[in-house]
Amino acid sequence: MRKVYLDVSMVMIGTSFTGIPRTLMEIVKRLEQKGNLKLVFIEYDSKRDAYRLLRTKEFIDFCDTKTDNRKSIRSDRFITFNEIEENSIFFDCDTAWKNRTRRSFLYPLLKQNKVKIVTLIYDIISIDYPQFCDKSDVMNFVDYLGAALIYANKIIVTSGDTKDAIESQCSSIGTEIPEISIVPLGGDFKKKENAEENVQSSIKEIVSKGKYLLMVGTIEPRKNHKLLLETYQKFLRDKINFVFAGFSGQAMEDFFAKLTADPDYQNGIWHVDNASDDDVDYLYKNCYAMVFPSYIEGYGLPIIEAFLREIPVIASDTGINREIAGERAVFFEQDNSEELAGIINNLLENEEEYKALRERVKGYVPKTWDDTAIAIEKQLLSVL
Amino acid sequence: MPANEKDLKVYAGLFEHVKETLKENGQMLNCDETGFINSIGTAPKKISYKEFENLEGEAFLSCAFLKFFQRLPLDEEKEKCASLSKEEILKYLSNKASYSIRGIELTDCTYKVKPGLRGKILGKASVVASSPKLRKTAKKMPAGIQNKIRGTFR
Repeated sequence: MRKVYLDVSMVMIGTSFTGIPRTLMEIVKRLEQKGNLKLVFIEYDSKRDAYRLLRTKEFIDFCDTKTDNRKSIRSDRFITFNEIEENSIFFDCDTAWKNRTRRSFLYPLLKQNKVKIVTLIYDIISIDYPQFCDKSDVMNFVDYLGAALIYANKIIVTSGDTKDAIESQCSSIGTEIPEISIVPLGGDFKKKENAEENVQSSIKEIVSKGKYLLMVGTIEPRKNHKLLLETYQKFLRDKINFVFAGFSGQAMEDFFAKLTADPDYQNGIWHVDNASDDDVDYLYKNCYAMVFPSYIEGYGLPIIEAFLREIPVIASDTGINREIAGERAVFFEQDNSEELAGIINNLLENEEEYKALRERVKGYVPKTWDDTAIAIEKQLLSVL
Repeated sequence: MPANEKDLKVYAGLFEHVKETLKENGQMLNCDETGFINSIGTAPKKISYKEFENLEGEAFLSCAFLKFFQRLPLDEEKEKCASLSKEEILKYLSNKASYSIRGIELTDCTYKVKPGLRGKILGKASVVASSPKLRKTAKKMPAGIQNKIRGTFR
């Protein structure tokens, strides 16, 4: 059976399992279940300057249950970089640019040792929109993407938008375009039973205050929360409530200062930090619509999450949002609060139009994680 | 393994694109290109001084920070290093918690660069502080306190 090495160092020190860690977990547990590849999970250890071998079963259990058993996952066996076997596959699908083992260091070694490299690139926001990112992260991403472009046998992306962005980047820097395959992510997350019983009372209270628009995602500049706040303050105060659900990210001091200074803060406009999955599920199910004004997204999972609950989506008109939402969403020009307010006012005033929008999202069937895993496996085997 | 010239052009192309995009958006990239290019291919632990001893000024500083810590220097760190010699900069960096945490070994260097007591203590403390449970708890603390903790172990 073909060996596939996965460096999961970042997942092994992570504290939250949404976004990329969640994607990695959904994929690997299915690959392991299929049993066609021998997955070898490894974690960089700075004391030994080597990869620690992780216990497969325990790591898969962790992916499945998210129960923190990380001590039991770690074995006391190590391999050096050069001991990654010839003709095996090194599949990078974690947040590898944050890893201590720089890909500009590791990939040439692997290549020299005839290891096939497959890199899953979720997006290249750090390259095309560095203004929204931490500059040290950007430098690390340049290192990672550069290495992937030079050394990867195959690059997997999750959207046509990211494929186009990488190809355009290659053309502009005059380097050969690598082989890139698109594998969309799944959206069929496991539903918990009795989820509503676990919802915090404060969340239920917000929902009880009346119709609200929901925005889900980390509070960070590229998500453009400030546009929603401006739309509320200029056009929609007293017409509909707003809820921002997401962790507080970096460089958002101005936004939070404006938000908390608003007279309707906590009584018309809320920020829900540290919401559980059950809280977010409850907020989705009860919202009037999900608004998604981001400048750029890697994938736009909240759009899928809203559709799964048959909730209308009003999104900024970007390539990735169009690709993910298709004809089901309503789009507005990026950064145009007046147009956004016009759409919302129109829906509030015309019940029929709102019903028609709800009809559009009925019967949405997302790609499944099983589909994703099957496609990933096919791509991995194709490099041999 | 040192990258060849053709490969370095890929990294340089990406760097320049990022720098230009930031400029168009009214932001500056606080990183010298030569410093960045010299950080390409750095090993995680054993770092050879030969790889960057010939760099000067901003290039040396950017490169040292990227090689050791995979981050750019903060304004106050740049200010602090502005008047220091290369040897003093290396000693300053080796006394940071992150140097011990990462277990960095600077090789091919004639200067005596070893983590100081502060670095060693914080390095040991970080083992405890980096437990996922404690980090999860810390993430619930106010942003100011979180920044203070991050700064201590930087």
